[in-house]
Amino acid sequence: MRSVKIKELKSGLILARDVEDAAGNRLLTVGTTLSKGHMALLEGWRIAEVWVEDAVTAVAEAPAEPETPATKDAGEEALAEAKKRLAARFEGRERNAWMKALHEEAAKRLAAPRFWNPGENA
Amino acid sequence: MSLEKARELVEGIEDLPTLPEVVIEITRLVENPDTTAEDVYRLVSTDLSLSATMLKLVNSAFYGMPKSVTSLEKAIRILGFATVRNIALAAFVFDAFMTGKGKFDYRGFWLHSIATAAACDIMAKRLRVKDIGEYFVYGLLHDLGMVVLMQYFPDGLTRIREQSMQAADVDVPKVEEKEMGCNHGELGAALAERWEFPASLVSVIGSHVSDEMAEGNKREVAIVRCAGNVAHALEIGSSLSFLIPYIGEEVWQAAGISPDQLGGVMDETLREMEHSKAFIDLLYR
Repeated sequence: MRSVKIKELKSGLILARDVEDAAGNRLLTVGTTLSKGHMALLEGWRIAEVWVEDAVTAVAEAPAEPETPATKDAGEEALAEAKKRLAARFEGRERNAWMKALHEEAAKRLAAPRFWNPGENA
Repeated sequence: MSLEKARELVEGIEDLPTLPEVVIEITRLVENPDTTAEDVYRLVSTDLSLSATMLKLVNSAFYGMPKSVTSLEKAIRILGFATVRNIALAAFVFDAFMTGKGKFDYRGFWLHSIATAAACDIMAKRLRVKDIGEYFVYGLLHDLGMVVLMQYFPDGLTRIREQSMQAADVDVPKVEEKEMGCNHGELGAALAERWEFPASLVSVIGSHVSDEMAEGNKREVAIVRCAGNVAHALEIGSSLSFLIPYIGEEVWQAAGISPDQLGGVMDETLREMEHSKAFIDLLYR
């Protein structure tokens, strides 16, 4: 088995160990074959890396999105990062103006440098 | 009916905390139209722990007092009887369930509940609804059923969590109903009924997952659901569901909040959470 960072995961890899969050709650069980949905979940739960079985052929993925220009400033990057992280949590939910506004406005606050989250600052 | 199943499950819990006599008496006093502030003060002052909790809550950002309130009698007059009763109920639930059995994130759970309470309070004030003082406790205790699952049905909750994590679009209340025979809203309502909480609070707890019990409390339930989503979207605390719960247009409209008000609600919620660190630390002293 080997440890793989979340950003390097590919569909089709099989978990070699349970995945738990920081509080010890089990999120995914050993033996789970990872899909794009699972990877979005792991990213959303801010898991840094997972253990997977060796010698598994990964399923071919869609091409990666183009990189953002190097000149983008930190604020725009933070906003884009926050939107991307929230996008998985809002998938299929933005079916009215309120849910769209909830996503947009939350992304702005999550990107703000002084955003306070006691879970992270404790 | 799944509410009946919820009642059956709650009845089967052997070591359920009992509502303290002082809290029962406060509820009786509040329901009596002849009760005076002096009566309530005399009762609350007999319980040092409750008095201290009440003063700390009154002086937290949630109640927005312009100056520090040091007199319990003054706090009771300012807050009003219904709010005093609700604070007593909330203090009891905190004390009973601040931490507990099983490997669950109690702190994350209560942070989400406090953020929901803050957002409820802010929305109620912006919308100038009747009985503004009730909304904070509606938000704080809306997920009482989750506490029942964490404390008394940890294996069931672990199975619900595992199933909820298998895909991003799992309908968590349906998983709860399949696993337990009821959802966590109904479980919370059954417990709130057992403790003889006010009917409006029981209805809000029971209906925030589905609309079945919301007959007379549509606006209250709508505000709690919308406030819960504000807390979810801001990622304050932890939640069983990965996806932000979908709330339809009719619920947002029933709450009375417009899309362009959500940014302001979020800013105020974050400010209240920042100012209430002392209150949050109180929970984990």
